[in-house]
Amino acid sequence: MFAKALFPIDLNQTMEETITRAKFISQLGTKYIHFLHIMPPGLGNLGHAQRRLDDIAVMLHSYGFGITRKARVGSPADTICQEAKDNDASYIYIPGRCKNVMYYALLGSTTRDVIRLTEKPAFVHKKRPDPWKQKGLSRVIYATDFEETAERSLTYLKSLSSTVSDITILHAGQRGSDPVSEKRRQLNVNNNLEHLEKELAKDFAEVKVRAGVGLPDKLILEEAELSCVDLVVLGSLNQGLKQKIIGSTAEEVTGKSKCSILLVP
Amino acid sequence: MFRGVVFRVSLIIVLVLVVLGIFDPDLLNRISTISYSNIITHFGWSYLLAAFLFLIFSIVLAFSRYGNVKLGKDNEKPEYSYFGWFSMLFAAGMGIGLIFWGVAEPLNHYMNPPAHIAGKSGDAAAFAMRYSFFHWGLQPWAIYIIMSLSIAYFSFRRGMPPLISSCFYPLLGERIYGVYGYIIDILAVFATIFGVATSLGLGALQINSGLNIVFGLPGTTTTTLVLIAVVTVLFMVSSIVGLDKGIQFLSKSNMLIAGLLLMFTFIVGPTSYILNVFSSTLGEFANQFLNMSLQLHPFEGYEWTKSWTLFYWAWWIAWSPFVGLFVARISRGRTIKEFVLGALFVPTLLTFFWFSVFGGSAMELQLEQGINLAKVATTDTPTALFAMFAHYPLSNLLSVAAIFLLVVFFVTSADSATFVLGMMTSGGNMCPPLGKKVIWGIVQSTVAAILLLSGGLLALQKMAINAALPFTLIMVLMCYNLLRALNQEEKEMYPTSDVNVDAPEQSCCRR
Repeated sequence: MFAKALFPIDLNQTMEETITRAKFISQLGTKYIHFLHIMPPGLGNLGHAQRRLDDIAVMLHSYGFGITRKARVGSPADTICQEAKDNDASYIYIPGRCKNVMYYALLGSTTRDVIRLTEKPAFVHKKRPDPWKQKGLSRVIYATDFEETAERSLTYLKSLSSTVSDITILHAGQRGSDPVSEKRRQLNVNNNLEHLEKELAKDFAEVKVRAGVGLPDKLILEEAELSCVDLVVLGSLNQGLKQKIIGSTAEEVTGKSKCSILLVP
Repeated sequence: MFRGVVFRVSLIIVLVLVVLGIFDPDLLNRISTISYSNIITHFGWSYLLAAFLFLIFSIVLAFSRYGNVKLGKDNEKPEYSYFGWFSMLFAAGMGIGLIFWGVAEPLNHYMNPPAHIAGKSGDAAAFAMRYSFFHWGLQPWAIYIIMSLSIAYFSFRRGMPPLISSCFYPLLGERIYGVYGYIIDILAVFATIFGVATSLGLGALQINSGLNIVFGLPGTTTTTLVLIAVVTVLFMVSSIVGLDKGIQFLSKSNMLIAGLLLMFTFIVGPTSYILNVFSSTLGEFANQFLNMSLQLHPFEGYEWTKSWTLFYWAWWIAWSPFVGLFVARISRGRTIKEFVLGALFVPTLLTFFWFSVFGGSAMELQLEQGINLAKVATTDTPTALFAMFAHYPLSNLLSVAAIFLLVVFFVTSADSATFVLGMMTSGGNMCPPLGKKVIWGIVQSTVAAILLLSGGLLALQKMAINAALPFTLIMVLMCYNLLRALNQEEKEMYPTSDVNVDAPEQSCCRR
């Protein structure tokens, strides 16, 4: 599931940090990394960037990774998505960085653009990995609406069973429009959650279920904060009118969450 | 009977305001005037925008993929024929008001248009007719449609009690059975009781004017009070006995009499002139519709807009819980498309024709024959219709027919209001306890009589209109709830085959 990562890299980051991040993604099962450095048109030296990428490749070879790399000029989000497609990456690993409100307001966010545009799973790593920690991920929320994308993300979730121990299955739904429909909805949700709980109990040590009514992004963020989780796994294919107007749940959670996010389209 | 929170709180609020109106009508007047003028001044724009939004929403919904959804179970047939349905729609929504304002409103606008139009001019006459169409046209019906559509959908299709709070289940869930639901329903009761009471009081004044002109009955307060008492006895008997078919018969007969009165005035009056007025005003209305829908005249003429357009919009919104519940009840079994198109366009066209006949005839007397009816309409509004009939053959018969129409409209309206109030204060029970109906019937007539005596009737009308502000927000949220419920229904998110939960059937004992 996570065999090959596309890793957009900022060449200002230290070699030590790159190695720490590479070690972290190896816990997910990643064996090959395609490093990509993108420069704005007319700025920077492509040859210099390529040499820096070569140095990184040599260093990470010694850690047992298969490495490819490329320095390109272009728009970051489009280039990342295209490169992930061309190189048949299993997923895109995006090292998250805290940016202030003004930065988002004026320049937008490459991460948001990538998760909107890509057809590949995206792992947005919000916290800098701790080099001394044996396991980078232990507590995970699996947010599901029982739809197709949530089903797909379940496969990715299961492949994390070697490193993750504690799973919370979270369903955030809309209330039924009358008491009878609501009762039906609740029964339906409980049945689905029970089924999922049984299924995931085979792979994970501890499985909890939560169901709530309201805005999915709000509930996911609340639960993530409350349970101090390391990762939220959710589907990201939202194309309804509401999503077009106010943004998708995936974008909202990615923008506001303090923990890492795995989005599966 | 006295256990219901909605019933108790509503009754207490009504009694407090009535006591205030009896002992210190000036204070009640000051409170209601200050709050009313502040609301209209600061939030008037919201009424205009909301009413336009409701109109757009209704039309879009009718032609959307939800248009074929039935206001009832899939196999239900409409309970009333088209004639019966249109008669009751028209009678509940506009009937009394049209008799009161059919002549008086165009003449009032003709005499006192906004500042940028010269009074008593040709422009003022065209403006008067156009705005009479506008004030009684599409927007009022769109307001009623939002209310009644939501109630009908949640009650007859979703099996919930016919209460306004029921429409909030998608948003509030079980909280509709708590404080939030109580507030919504109490506001509805508040607006209904004061709306009906003021209409009853003002209507009694008009009946009295008519009787004074035709039979020379003294136009004193005592006579008006006797009239209120008579109307009260009539609608209470009807309400207690539960004359289901009788009320239907009265509504239909009333529509026939109204139709005869309309046709008589149309044929005996200046027929070509009326058709000219109808055609040109319809054209101007269509041409200026968007402008009128969003026009507040902020630079010149704002006071006029506040006094007329915003007053009307607030009044229709305040009146909508009562009309909405009634219209919902009589529209069971129709599709959303049929309901919206029927309730929006048929009464509107009838109203346009009514205004063209009565307003046009009055304009003809004023402009072509030099009879100063406008002065009567502006100084003694209730008598305007009778003053116009005085220039027609069989004037006494026409006046008697108009008085009869007013009385029957009042009996049917007050009876319906008693039923609706009883239902709203007994958790949406379609067979409200007789005790509650009697209490509300007596309360509304007593409120009308006492405040007519103390002079607090108009203050009470303003209080009712004040309820329109929260109701505007409530109605916007109703649109959201309705859309969400329709969307969920379309997706068939939780099919019945999954679990064995059946929706309760709503039954009714009358009407």
